[in-house]
Amino acid sequence: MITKWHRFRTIIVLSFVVSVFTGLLYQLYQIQIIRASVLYDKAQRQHNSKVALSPGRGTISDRRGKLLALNVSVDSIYAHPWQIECVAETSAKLSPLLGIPPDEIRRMLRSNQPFVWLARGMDSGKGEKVRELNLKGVGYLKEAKRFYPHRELASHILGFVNIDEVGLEGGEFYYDRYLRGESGWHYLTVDGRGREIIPFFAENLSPSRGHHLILTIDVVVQHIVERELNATIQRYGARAGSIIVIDPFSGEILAMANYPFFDPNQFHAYQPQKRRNRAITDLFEPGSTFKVFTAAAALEEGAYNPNDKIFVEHGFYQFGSHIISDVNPRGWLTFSEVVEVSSNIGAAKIARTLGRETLYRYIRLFGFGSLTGVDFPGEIRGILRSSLKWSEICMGTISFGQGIGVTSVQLAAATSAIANGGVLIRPRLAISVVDDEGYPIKKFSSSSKRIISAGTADQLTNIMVDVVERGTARRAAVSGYQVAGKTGTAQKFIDGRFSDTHFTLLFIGYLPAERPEVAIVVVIDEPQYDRRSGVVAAELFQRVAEQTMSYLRVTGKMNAGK
Amino acid sequence: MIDRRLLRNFNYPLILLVFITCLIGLAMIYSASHHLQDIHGFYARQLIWMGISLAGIAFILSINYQTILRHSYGLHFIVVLLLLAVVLFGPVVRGAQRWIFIGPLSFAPAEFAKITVVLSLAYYLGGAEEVKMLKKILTSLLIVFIPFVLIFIQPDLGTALTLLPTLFVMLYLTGIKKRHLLAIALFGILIVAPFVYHFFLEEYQRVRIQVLLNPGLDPLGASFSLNQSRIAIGSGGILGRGWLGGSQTQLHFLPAQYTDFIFSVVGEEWGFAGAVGLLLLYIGIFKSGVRIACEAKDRASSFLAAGLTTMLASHVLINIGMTLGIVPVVGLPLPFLSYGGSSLLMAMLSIGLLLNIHMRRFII
Repeated sequence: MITKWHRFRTIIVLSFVVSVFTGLLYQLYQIQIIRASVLYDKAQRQHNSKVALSPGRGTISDRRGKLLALNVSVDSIYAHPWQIECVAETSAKLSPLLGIPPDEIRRMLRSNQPFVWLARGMDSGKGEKVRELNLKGVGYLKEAKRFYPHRELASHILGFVNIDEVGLEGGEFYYDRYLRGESGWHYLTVDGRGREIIPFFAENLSPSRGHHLILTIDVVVQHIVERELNATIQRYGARAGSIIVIDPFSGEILAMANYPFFDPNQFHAYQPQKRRNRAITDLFEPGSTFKVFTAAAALEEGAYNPNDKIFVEHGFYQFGSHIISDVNPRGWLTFSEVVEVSSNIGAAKIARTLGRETLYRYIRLFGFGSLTGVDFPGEIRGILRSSLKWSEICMGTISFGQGIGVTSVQLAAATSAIANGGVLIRPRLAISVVDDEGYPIKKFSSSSKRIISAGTADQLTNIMVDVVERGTARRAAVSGYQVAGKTGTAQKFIDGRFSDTHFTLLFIGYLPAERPEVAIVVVIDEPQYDRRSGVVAAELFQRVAEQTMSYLRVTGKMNAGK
Repeated sequence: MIDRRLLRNFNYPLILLVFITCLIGLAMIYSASHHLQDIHGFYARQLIWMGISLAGIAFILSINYQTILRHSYGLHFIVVLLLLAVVLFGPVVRGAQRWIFIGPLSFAPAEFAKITVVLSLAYYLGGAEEVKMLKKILTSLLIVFIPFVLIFIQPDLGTALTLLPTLFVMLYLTGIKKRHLLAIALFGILIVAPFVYHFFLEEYQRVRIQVLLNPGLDPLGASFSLNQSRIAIGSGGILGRGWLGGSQTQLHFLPAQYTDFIFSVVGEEWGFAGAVGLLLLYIGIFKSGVRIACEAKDRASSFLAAGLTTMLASHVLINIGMTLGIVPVVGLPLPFLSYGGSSLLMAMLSIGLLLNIHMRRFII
């Protein structure tokens, strides 16, 4: 018979079982209630993945509608590795067509991913050929690929994009949010064996095309500038160079070129330093071109009239603890002549009369030491120390452009301010962003600020005209136009001292002087021949200015974009 | 044979609980396998096996279980022979020799060994009241040991392991002294377990045990099943993702999801509520089993009922513990829920025996 103790033991066993059940219950509580959301996220992550669909990037064109960056249709070959039946055979067949070694294709086909790109951006038509091979698990998608038809032309302004058409540098980067459009997504759901399940939970998001960017650049002017810059660089064996051609009244940059050039279609093949837009990202000492701005301060302050006499000490001048010297020793010069013959001693005396604070204030007013606000990534401020830290000699040398670092674009803005009658304007590379029908989405304009009076600007123009007609910049004269300009030669500061062999050659100018259409800044870095001759930059200015003016005469007055 | 008195004493709640559990299993098997190429295959075949199992229960009920008990040794002997045949001649399927194929049917003798072991132990212990304790223990060990070894080398660690708690509980119920039982348990844990771990376990089995202690060990390899199962159960949350709505299940991230890991499907699709509900169903079944054991008319019957209940309970506890990551991953079906004819038939025949004992508790 069933005894009492037997029953008791049975109950003991049952309670043991129940207590284990309680343990299970506790674990269930831990997993399903405490850690539920964490585990649910884990599940979602391993089930879902997505592939970007390229939206078709907007184009970039010049002010007259010439396309500088556009998209061409390319074929991108992909594979679903789990569908591949014979990896060896598939890779052997694809290898010659794609131009990829079979080993590499095999490696990609062995991936655990549900979807891999085998080759992107292949010529249009490749995809059909791949399809004709009839390989299971291999297919192609039509994609857009960025193409720059003019290759090197305006390359630094345009910048470039990566394989996914995301702007990496230059205008492509700066205006990426307008150009890129909305990327579409192809959502994948993946099962436990890594296979793509399309009908389950799947939905796709169609991409929407990007807007188009219209630049202030004129392809013809840009071409002139690049050709002449290249010729000069080659002729004088220079290291680098930049030219900016700008409309001084609107701030629109008609051309901006840098040497060395690069081809954005193959940007990978160029070192980063060649892809830099030096006109905006590099600084140099402005040298004698800076005397124009020192003169501007003096005239605006009423400290001098153009005909006031200044004694320039026959070439040697004890300035504080230092000696300032002139290349061409003179005795008495008028204020205008100080700029015309480019007397360092004259400039330093003018600066001393003005005093540090005043000189510093005008340098700041012309935009040196701060960003111009040009619509381009990576702009630098240059170097301008506070006047409180200037020594006596420091103030003296800054007056003729030593001990200060500026960029080409700062010089272009400051020169424009004199050319347009005294208004500092923000330089700009973009006119507008338009949609597919050409309707403007956004129009850009430049802020401006009066910094000197129109009278002072006129007086400066007269002085700068004299520089070209009688002074140091006679090689810059353009027949049929009055040209205002100023040369500059800056010793480069290398290894802690000013070099006698490495120079930066500069020219700033504008024409026609009475009603300027273009202002031009020329910077040549370290020429090996005629190392310190102002003539090199002046000649380059002359060729660019002459051809640009004759082009503008043929096409008539600038029509500012659309 | 079946008269009205028997019907009056029939344990209707038990068969109802079992039937509900089987239907849940059917729904889960459908959810876990309906994407597979053989669209109706798994749940339809399970339905057929359910029919066969019910017929099996009816057959068992028609015979007095005492008769079956008397033939325990014979049945056990036949099953041991079949196990021997499987080990010697059985085809290797997925790395193990477990099945005997007769035409289109296949069955696993190990499943039936579970029942014959309980039958033989109950029959022996029931009639060996006066036998000395040491002899009693050694004979019991002998009954269990032969099928245990044969199943272990198939290899089917999970099934072999379920025999041990059954033996343990039945010895306990015979009145063995607590310190003897403790001695056996300590001997098993301290001496046999490490010995088995080092010399008899396959590498993959050792890794499974290590993975339990450290789930991050090898997320794509050995701990894959464990991690996927936890993710499935966890993403079910309180109310579950809904039937056919669990993405772990529907995308087949779960290993063996319609067999050993079917509890993960319940956890994902029906959530904490469904999982607790299922646990309560099982507790209900086991409570019936215990009641039958307590009310059985003699020692052997009581041992038989307790043994069968223990055997089913250890399946449930080990299987669910495995899907929750408390117990190492061993291949073991969840009774009434997992897909698989032999295991369903085994579980149902055990229920048949329990019902039989209960029904005939007053017949001398």
